Amino acid sequence: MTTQPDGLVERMQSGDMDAFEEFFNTYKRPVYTTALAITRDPFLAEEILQDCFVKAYRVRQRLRRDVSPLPWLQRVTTNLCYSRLSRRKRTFAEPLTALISNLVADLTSRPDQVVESREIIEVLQRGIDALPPKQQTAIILYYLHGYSLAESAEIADCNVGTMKSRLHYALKALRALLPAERRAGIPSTARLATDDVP
Amino acid sequence: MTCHKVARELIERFRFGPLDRRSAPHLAHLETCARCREEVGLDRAFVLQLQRALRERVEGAEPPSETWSMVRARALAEGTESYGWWHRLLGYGQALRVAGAGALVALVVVLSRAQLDVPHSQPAASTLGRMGHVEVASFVTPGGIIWPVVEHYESASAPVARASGLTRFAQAAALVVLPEPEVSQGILR
Ligand SMILES: [Zn+2]
Repeated sequence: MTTQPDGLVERMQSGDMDAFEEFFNTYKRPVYTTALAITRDPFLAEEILQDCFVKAYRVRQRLRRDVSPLPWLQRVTTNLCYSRLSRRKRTFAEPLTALISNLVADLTSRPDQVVESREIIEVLQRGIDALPPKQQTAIILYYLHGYSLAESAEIADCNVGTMKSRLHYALKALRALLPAERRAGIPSTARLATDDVP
Repeated sequence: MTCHKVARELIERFRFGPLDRRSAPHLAHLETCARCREEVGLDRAFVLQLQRALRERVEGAEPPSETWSMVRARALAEGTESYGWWHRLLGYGQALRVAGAGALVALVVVLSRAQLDVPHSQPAASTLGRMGHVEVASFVTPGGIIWPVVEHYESASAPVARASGLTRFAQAAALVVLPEPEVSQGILR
């Protein structure tokens, strides 16, 4: 997690626009990445990026100087994404049958290799779009940004067990979209927290 | 140690870690068992594909260079949040409590006036009394109009994070020091 450059928030709070620009440049990429990963729309992602930083500027007097603002920015970003998307009525959950039936046969029995497959990736993209927001956020934080379980949980404002559970259900749902021969070995849910059943 | 247990354990460890000394027997089993290798390998391949799919969503994407000038212009136009003098004087939570108390007093006055207006001959006066009780209760109970707002805002505030012994990271996520409706509302709940 990026730490806050020394005195940056303090300078921003004193009305220094250069400091705000540095703040923006320091954190714009992870914020934009999250927005783009969720929305898959560069224009919408840019709007969300703007909204997030305008909001940060508006509340700058109350930003803490001793901790990274990134978790907060990420939280605001995911919120903005889902409120925009729900306004737009997300269009997902198209039938995946056609895509899956096109999956090629050469994807079997190569467990130690990443099998390059356009079709598999497409199925996963649609599957990610169709995940409930909390599960989608979980896989973006954990698998795209590479935040630890604890960090992801903090951003998502839940405990580690819940984060793990969200990840588990997301992976299970996504893996279920794959053809049967690629689907073996989905672990049982028995050991996972059950407080977050989607 | 059955194959099922080994595969399940290793899939869990590979996904969420940690792979440590305790995983040694499971890994040893993996070396000798093609079935478990395949199961665990399939899950690894799947996770790697998922990561690839996620990366593809953002690959090469940069925020447009003109975004900063838009942010700057909007930030300057919108300025800083502003409170009324009484907010600043009392703090937001305190202001809400004062407003709540004021509303309560106003309600009591209105209700007592209403009660005075009821003709003495009507037994409906007791109904008004009951109405008054219900209305007042809705102001003063923790589940009423004032408190849920305060509780909601405070749940994302740093003092709460400190009090509950959360990490610095948690405090960072709960960055806003004072209750702040704009920021706190609807945060991934
Ligand atoms: Zn085995």
